[in-house]
Amino acid sequence: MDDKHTQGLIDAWFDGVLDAGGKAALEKALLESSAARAFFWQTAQIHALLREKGAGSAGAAAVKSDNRTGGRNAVRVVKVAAAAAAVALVATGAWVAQRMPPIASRQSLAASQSGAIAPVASSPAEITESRGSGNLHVAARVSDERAYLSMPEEAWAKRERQARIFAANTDRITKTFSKKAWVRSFVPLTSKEENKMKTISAAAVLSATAVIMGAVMAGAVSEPTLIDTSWGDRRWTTVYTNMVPLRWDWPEPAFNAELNIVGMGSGFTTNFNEITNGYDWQAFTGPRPNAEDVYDLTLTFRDASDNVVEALSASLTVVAGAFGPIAVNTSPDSRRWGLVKGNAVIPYCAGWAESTDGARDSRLIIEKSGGASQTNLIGSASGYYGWKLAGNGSVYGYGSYGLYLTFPGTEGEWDAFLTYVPKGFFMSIR
Amino acid sequence: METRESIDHVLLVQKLFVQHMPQLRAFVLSLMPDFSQVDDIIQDAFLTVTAKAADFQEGTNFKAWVFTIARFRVLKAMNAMDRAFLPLSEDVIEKLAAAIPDQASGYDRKLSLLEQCLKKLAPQARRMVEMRYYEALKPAAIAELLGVGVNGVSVLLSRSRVVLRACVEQKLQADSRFGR
Repeated sequence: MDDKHTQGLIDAWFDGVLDAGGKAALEKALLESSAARAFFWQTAQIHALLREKGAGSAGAAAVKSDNRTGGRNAVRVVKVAAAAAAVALVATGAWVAQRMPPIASRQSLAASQSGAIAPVASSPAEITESRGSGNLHVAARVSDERAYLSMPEEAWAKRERQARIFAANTDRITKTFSKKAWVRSFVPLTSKEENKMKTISAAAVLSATAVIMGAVMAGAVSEPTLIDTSWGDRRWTTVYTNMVPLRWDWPEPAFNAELNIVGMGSGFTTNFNEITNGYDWQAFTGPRPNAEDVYDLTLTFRDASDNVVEALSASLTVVAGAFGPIAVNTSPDSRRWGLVKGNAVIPYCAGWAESTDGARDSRLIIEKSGGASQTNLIGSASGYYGWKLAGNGSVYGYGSYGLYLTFPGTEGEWDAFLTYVPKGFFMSIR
Repeated sequence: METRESIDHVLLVQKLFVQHMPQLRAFVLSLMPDFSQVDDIIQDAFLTVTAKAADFQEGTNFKAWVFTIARFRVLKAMNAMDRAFLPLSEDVIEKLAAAIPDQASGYDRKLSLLEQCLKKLAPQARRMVEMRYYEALKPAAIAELLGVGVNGVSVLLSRSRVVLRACVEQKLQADSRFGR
């Protein structure tokens, strides 16, 4: 092997500047010489290390690159997707009372030892409000630094490094893991509900102490989890098991109860004809969910005359991110970010932008071009919205859509536009 | 139907994938000049490995299995690439795959040492390395931005890689001498 010549060819290959003649010469050398192959891998190793090192700064690079081309879409898409990737199974609501007669005998919500319930009030969607303000300020006010901090590339790089360290130390780990409970310091409630729900809100806070993770994954390998430091974020209620223990106190006058669980892809109803204080719901089977989904849970208690005594509601979002190791797409240019092939789980979080960080609730407007506009008022500042676009029961159809996410009381708007075509969705977010 | 055993098996396979990720990434990076596609390929490989976990028998050669999967993914991506790109032929890739060294051990330490070694590069060389690897620019673009010749960039990048490799190896040897 002509060392110098071969090394030059290998360097040219790794810099992507090898022409056809050079490539033929390189292939010949690699096929014939073990020394050439060894040098190829030596160079590959430093090439990979440098690229790995560079990936940690890719966020900044992506922002710069995007600014050069005048667009911000890729950065925003990655940012939104990062929220989804960071979360596994999220119990986004404790049992919260819905509109009903005065509650005389409501007891505190029972805190399950293995439950994952968090207190969040939610309001149902309202489909009456029309959108009149047009495109509001795009969230361009968010500084690039803040966006950079939220970029998944860096988090991904850290996560991978931690995963490697963890994997290397796996043999030394003999005990199962667990995570201590965390109590959220704030329960967002609408003012209308607040008076009636003092009891329930206090109890709901108690229920949050029962967040314990790891029932299914215990004893297996768990990757380090991305930690979200936003105090109001529902991601604190993440659990890592497909078995979701639902717990409640049975109200005295109730004769029976009905539990109704509705997701975008599936749902079921079960009845309780005697005093029951809990139900273990398996949100999905297998080691990881087949599809992401947002479930609305309603538990309705009725008396002997079939009058509603009490109704509790909760929601739970299933995302695939942390059921075991998962590869994360870190390329802002990847077409995957712009392609959704089914019902959409849309993350929202006031903490994405400094200007909206103090918001307590959210509003998502879905506007179809040339069609109706739907306004969803959501009683929380962060979480997931399930948009059922496909399949039976969807009220949407093929066409172009605009999505506008705002946080009432603050300025700024996130918007996204997509076209739903028979073979999939094409989405861009800014 | 999923059983506890099959779930554990999938987790085992995923764990092995994570352990081999550095090597796999180096392998894919070596064959794909387009950095942005590497993560897609790794992700595809991960999903394939998960879906085909039942095909893997514990105790057999996981590395060979996962590299075969990655190789097919690379070839598929290469076929879909711009015609201007000239991929290595399949038999060369196969030969290279058989010769890949064990790079997993000490990977994190190497990354840490690389940081120290980068600081020792001359400012111009370091800037070029950053532009090449942090901003994914090709030598022609770097040359244009810095107002220098393309050959000069290529030579400096090549030398920088040699210097950095030697520096990392030297520090690793020092580590082992001092029992770190």
